[in-house]
Amino acid sequence: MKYIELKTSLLSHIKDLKPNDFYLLEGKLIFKSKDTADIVKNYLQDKDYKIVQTSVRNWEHWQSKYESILYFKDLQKESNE
Amino acid sequence: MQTKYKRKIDSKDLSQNRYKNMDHLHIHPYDPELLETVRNDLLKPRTCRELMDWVDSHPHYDVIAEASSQYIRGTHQDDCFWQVAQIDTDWHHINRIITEYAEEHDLDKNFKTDYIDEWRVYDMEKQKNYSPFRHNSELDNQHKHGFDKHYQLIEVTLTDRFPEIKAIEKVFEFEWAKTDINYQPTSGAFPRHVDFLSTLIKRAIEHDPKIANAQYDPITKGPVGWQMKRIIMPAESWYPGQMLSFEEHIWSNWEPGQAIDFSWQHCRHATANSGYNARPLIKVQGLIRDDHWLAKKEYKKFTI
Repeated sequence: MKYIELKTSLLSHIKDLKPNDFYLLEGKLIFKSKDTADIVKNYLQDKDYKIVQTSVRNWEHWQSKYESILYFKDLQKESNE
Repeated sequence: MQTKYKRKIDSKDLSQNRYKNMDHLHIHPYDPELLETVRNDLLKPRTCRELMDWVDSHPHYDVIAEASSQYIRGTHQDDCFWQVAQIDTDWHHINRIITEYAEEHDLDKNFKTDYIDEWRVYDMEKQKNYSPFRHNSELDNQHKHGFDKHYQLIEVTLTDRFPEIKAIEKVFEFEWAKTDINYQPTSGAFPRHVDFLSTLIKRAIEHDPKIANAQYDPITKGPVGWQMKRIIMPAESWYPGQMLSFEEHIWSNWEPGQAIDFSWQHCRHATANSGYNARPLIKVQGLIRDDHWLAKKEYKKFTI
């Protein structure tokens, strides 16, 4: 699974989720709002994904503030495609 | 022959800046919003030549490379790196000729990865420099963090020095095959990165208008209708302290002839040699079509 596929799928399935609500940082999804991260986490857990949620270290050189990070654990092996 | 792909250090171009606020550039971890902007920029339609020109002339290669990764943490190890072949040959002999070459050219003693011209696009008579080519902003960024000894790169395809290794290259049946020995002396460390396989695609672009004008796929990071492959195989058994990582996954305890394919496009990978022996790795790359055995993820054994 690539980020672009995941993002497109989340945006099409989760009502009110916007492209600028979250980004990709070193393989993890980083959210501006914890409430939004919770919604995405619940959606993914309902799909049987194992999700880790952490707080964010916000860096001075970043343009925005973030509240929550999500990442997957132990994704299934993909097909040969 | 001097071409645009053989840039000199004094051609370093800091005049272009697509991103107005320089304060957010080149500082790790990169600004997530900036990465998203660059990632979306990468998705715009371009031919292979247009893409490589864009990457080549961009003042912030390090940010482009980082943004080009679509890796999702948690991806299965088998989707990050996987063995595609076992090559049985006289690895003691191959290891001996690599070691002799390294001794002859002081590769362990004169080990510093510095700015160089890009010279591996055209045929060469004699290798003069062992530093792998790096885009200026990438090397600036690496040096700033103390990574000034990566590995030494020994040419195979463009010389006649290693016929035994050229025989290995042939089993992969690549178009535009390009092979090097990635020889990492002790204390070498090449920080995590993803690739564009620039040397490979630039050679193809320079010589083949079909590839130059083919659409570039920003997800496979190659010409549409082709796959670009980079196969790595150790020439010597693993020694404790030698490291090769692919995101959160580690490859260790390797043996000579294990040919590994990997997601060079998206998996941040890194090498370090904290052992007490040099780490010679053969790197074979080239272009294939979808009906190639590697594209079908078949496993093969070869005896040479």
